[in-house]
Amino acid sequence: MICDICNKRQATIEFTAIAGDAKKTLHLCQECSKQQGQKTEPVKLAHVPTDAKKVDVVIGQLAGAEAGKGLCPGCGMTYEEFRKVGRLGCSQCYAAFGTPLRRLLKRIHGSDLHVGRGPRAPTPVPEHGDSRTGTTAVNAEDLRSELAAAVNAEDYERAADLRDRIARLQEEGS
Amino acid sequence: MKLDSLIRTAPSWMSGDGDADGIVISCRARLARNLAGYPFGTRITQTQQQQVIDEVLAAAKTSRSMSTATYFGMSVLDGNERRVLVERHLISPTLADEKGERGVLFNQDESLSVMINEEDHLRLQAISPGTRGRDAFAAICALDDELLNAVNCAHDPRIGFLTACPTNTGTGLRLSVLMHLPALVLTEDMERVLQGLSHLSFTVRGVYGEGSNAAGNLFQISNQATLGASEQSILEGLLRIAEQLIGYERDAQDSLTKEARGQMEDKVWRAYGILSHARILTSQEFMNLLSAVRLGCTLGVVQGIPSGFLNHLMIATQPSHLRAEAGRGLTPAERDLRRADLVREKLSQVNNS
Repeated sequence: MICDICNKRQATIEFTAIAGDAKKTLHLCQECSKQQGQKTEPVKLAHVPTDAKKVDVVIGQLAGAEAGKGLCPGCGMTYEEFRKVGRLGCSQCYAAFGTPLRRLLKRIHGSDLHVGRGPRAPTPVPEHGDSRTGTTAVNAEDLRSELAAAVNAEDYERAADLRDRIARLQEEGS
Repeated sequence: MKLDSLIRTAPSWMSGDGDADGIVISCRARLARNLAGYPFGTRITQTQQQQVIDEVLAAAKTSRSMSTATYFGMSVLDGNERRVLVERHLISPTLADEKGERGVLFNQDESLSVMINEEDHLRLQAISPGTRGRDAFAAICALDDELLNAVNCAHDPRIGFLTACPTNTGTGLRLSVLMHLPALVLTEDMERVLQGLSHLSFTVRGVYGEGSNAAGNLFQISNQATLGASEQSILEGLLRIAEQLIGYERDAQDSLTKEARGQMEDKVWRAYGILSHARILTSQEFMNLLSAVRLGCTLGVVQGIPSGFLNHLMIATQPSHLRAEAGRGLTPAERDLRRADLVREKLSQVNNS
């Protein structure tokens, strides 16, 4: 197995994370992990970004094209202001800041679609599509392209859900 | 319940139960929720904060798990009392320090708590001892169901629960495992482990929250993403990582005992000796010595000291607990004297029992 960082040397340390049906494994070689290790103090965690800082960094990266857009009718917060404080003013900000905020969510979480519990447990089923995959696509063609996109984005959990949904569709169709 | 009585007991999650390997101290589940119709923390007025508190307390009264819980408004507590709650992981430093109407509701054994008017209106928390992450998860879901049926939560069908900070949007779920990993630190493998964990989108922190150092080789590992994966898969992912880390720590402990048994035992017993006889202990020295003794207990070098005892000692020697016990303000030098006194006294009790 080749190291995921340098793509050259043999990897000697392995991590595995399971999300749903999907497995994500990371391989690192001794050199790369050592090199990375030298950049930081031994076992000091101060370099781990706090939540607020992390948001600031990501929001900063998305600045420019998105700047100055959006004013929340609920609380009067502007997108600019949100970028400064890293906290939204009220629940309506989510709709008011639309696309840039969704892009930000995707950047932070690797996804901008909720899977899981709803306001009245158990999970509600939306009118269209599938609640687990959060997709509104109903034909296998569309689902397949969403699947490809999910794999591309390394969103294996969503990919696994989409795969199952395609399988179910094919069963129903046959 | 008064805070005075609190400091003499240990929270149930520190009991040391469910910790067969002596590696996992506790598991914690946290949910962020906001009531519909009120602005979030940065925009809310004091009047609205009071309305939120009233709504939540009314809802909690009708719930099974929180009907007999105690509520503390921050305004009735002095600075040290708030810090005691921070040290017991019942509230965050933010809740303790910010202005406005805020408070915390928690049950008798401190396994369930609700912070009201932190950056989100509600922060639900469940903690369970040892590797019993599933218990904490089940408890938090049950409490969430009860409260969600009584109040209106800010929620969107596509992006889930709406929170003040976009890092919590979706499930609002942060799960964490508190682990003691001394052998991985001693064998200098911890840095690699930290690298690996951050690549897999897990956050690692010290025992007292964001930005703190890993005092006493205690690491808090939690999920980073809250959106796009179900609560259940977040839980499974974290438990699996914890399982892996237990394996790594065990391997490192094995190689320590094989290759350097003498040095390892010496380190453990020296630590035990200092803790038993020292007259001055700083917080950092104490945490490091405690870690060595804990490792000794895990490896069977030291016997007769339950891990629950070590956990309780760790809480009881925190600065605000020492101050509350003394009943007056302490200078840092006085605190180090009192810490050493307390540790000697407790260790002699456990030796004679």
